[in-house]
Amino acid sequence: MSQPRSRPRVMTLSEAAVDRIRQVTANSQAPIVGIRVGVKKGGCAGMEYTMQYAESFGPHDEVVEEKGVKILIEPTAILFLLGTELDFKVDKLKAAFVFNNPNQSSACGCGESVAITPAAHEQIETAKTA
Amino acid sequence: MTTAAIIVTERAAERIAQIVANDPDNNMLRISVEGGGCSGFEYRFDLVSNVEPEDMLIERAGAKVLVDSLSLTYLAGSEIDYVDDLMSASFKIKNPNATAACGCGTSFSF
Repeated sequence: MSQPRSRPRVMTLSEAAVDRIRQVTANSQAPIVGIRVGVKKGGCAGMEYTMQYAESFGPHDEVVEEKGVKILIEPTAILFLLGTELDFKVDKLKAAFVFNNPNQSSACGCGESVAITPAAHEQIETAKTA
Repeated sequence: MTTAAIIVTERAAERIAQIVANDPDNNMLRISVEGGGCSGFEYRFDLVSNVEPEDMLIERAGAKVLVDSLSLTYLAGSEIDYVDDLMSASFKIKNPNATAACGCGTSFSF
């Protein structure tokens, strides 16, 4: 296999997100290679972020690795997630992953449903050559 | 005061016990309903130290949940649960009175 070319990072992970992913990976019953991240239609603002345990890599998944943990981004979600920082926020009564997404134009009260304007193709090309 | 049951699940009771163990001054979970959110009403969760005169107190395994009388009219028959999945870990309310809910279940309507 040829050496994969270096690619821009579609997403970044905060320290807290890395810790949490490491934790859920360790606690998972089935062996998993990482966490798959995507978007789907739903909620009051139009779209929702999804997260699932990934047991294998999909052929077109974009893999982001940070400090030993991996997230797999679904190919259809890349344009929506470009530039997003995944964070994990813990307060007294709730703990949740948070997507800090520059493409997001509005969100539902709780932030689980969002409206996202996909990144233009030029942005990706710029990111790749940067 | 009505006697309509509000059920606190075992998981919710365990989680409340864990939370208040770190904060003994505010050792009760108050759940209230207020206007807001995309579906018209929102649930609110607070840790508190005082029982008010009109409150209904629900206890399970040492965990204490308070609901004021106005919120109780909206919450009668509800189940208070704590759901810990990959995306988030938080309290969730299954409310038989709600006719529509926001994606996350924080906002709902009657």
